[in-house]
Amino acid sequence: MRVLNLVLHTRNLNQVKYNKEGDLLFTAAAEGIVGVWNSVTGELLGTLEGNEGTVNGMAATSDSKFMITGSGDATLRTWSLQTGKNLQKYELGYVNSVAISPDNEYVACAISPIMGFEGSVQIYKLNKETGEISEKPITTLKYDPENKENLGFYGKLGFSYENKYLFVSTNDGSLLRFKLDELLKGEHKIDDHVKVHKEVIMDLQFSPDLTYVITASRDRFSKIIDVETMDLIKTYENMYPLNTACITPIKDFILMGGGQDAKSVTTTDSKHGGFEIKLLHKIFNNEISEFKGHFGPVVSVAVNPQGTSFTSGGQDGTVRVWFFEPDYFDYTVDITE
Amino acid sequence: MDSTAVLSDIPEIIKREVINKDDGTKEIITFSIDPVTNIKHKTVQLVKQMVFLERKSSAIEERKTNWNKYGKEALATNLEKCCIADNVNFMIGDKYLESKKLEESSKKEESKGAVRKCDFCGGNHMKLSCPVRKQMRQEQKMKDQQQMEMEEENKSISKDGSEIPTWELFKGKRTFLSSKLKERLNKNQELIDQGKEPLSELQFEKLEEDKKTLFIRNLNLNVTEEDIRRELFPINGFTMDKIERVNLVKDRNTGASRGFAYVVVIDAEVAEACAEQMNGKGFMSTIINVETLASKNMNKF
Repeated sequence: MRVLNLVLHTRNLNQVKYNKEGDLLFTAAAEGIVGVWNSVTGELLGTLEGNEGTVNGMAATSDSKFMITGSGDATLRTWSLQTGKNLQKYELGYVNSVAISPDNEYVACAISPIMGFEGSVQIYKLNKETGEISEKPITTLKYDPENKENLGFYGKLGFSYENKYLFVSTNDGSLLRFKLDELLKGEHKIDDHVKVHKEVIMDLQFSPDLTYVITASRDRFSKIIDVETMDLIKTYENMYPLNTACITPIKDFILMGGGQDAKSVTTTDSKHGGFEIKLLHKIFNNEISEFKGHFGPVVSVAVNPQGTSFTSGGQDGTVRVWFFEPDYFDYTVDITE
Repeated sequence: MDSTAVLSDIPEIIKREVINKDDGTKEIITFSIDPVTNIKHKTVQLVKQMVFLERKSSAIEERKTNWNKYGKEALATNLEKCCIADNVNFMIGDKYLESKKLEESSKKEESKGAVRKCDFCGGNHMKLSCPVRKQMRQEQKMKDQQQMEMEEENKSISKDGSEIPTWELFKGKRTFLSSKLKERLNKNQELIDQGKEPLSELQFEKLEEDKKTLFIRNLNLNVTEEDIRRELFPINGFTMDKIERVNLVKDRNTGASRGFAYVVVIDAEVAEACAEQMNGKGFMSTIINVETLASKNMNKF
């Protein structure tokens, strides 16, 4: 199996992501740099420099022209991916995650109630031509700790298919669903919510057709939830706390990674920390394979939309690109047994 | 005027046969008469059709051509940002489960209790206190001493007072000399007559190896090792069992062929015949260049 080590970041990774075609790879790390890579050869095409704090979330438009990053220095910035220039900068608050709607119309960002800022979800209008976002948000969904309807402050975000819903995860492990057209009108009513996990949801990723969600939590479980009915479809268990999970295209597999907390890592051997990335069958729920190589907890995993490779980012600053072998594509399950 | 001359030079085709073979190749036989000399020709063409499909997205191509690098790290050319990690074994399904079981069982044995295991004989004691090892060491010492004494006796000194090299000592003492050793001694004698340094055993072996390795250049980038084994040699009249091994050189980063290969055949005569036969012949739409490594190295100096 061909594995590439991408050497750029010196501190822990926060997110790795592919663009829509799968030829570009983006890595966001805690030193405030976003790396843009060629996902096949591993060539560093550029770095987005300017953030003064950790880059918590990022999202690229589907035409791969612009990128929006949310950072720990309380800013939301827009970038041109072709030139690497910073186009806009807004001071909002500690941005936890960023998402762009599938049709590139809206940008949503989740802000944590830390450092004196109010926790909220803000939705902006995005200009497709210039890559700039509107000066004032269309709506701000405020987090009110006294209101019982608000279950916890907001973590990760994601848009479902056809801009229908906005999904927001909270720090107590529940998943909220808002109707986007109602939100844009200013009606801040939770459409539906499920208590999925006992602990904080670390990652929220969609299936390739945006019809179901996969979550990963520190309570060792990863779950698949239907977008339309909010039913729990599948549950996957891991030995160690999870940080990330994603669904592979072409084959019906799940990739998930995690590991023990960084606090207790120093007391354990890398063999017993659970730093392997697991490959599970999506339907039969059994472990098929694992990828060994990280020496610290895996923070983020993303699959190439073409299904030929995937990338993992670790808390020790390493990024590895794994290219699947023919065995992976030939694997089938014999149901007759 | 040129064009008419060329036209008249084209031989007149009488008959053309096309045979479709089972393995997807075509054999085209044409009979023709040269208009100038009136000589009949029969030409046989072996044709293999290969189709390579490559899908390219217009957006990706545009990015590749129009985008420039930016940022401090990306513009620093002296630092490589990407390196290939160690080769990772990938096992899926039943294979993976089996390997995991094996790992777990070995772990259990380890955790049962510290079992002392001697690396030398496998007994239940430390290597340093192994009785077998002690005895072997003593015997070895005795042997070494004896050999030292023998060598001191055997060391004959020439009239000038300088030591005679070992390869010359063999000549008088040994009654039987293997063919390889004989060759080496003769070669060394020649070299000394020319005023050059004699070869060691390793260097001599390398020379022998070089004589029977072929160096093939200018291969089509789509040629694989199997193609060389199954097509290039059989077409030129050398059966597959004449080949010992084939090594097609590939790019370390991309895994693509670099267009040249080393082929080791069974002996030097076959290698020379191969080089004579195949040099300058066409193979998969390129004209290849074949020579033995020995001749290539000779040309270098």
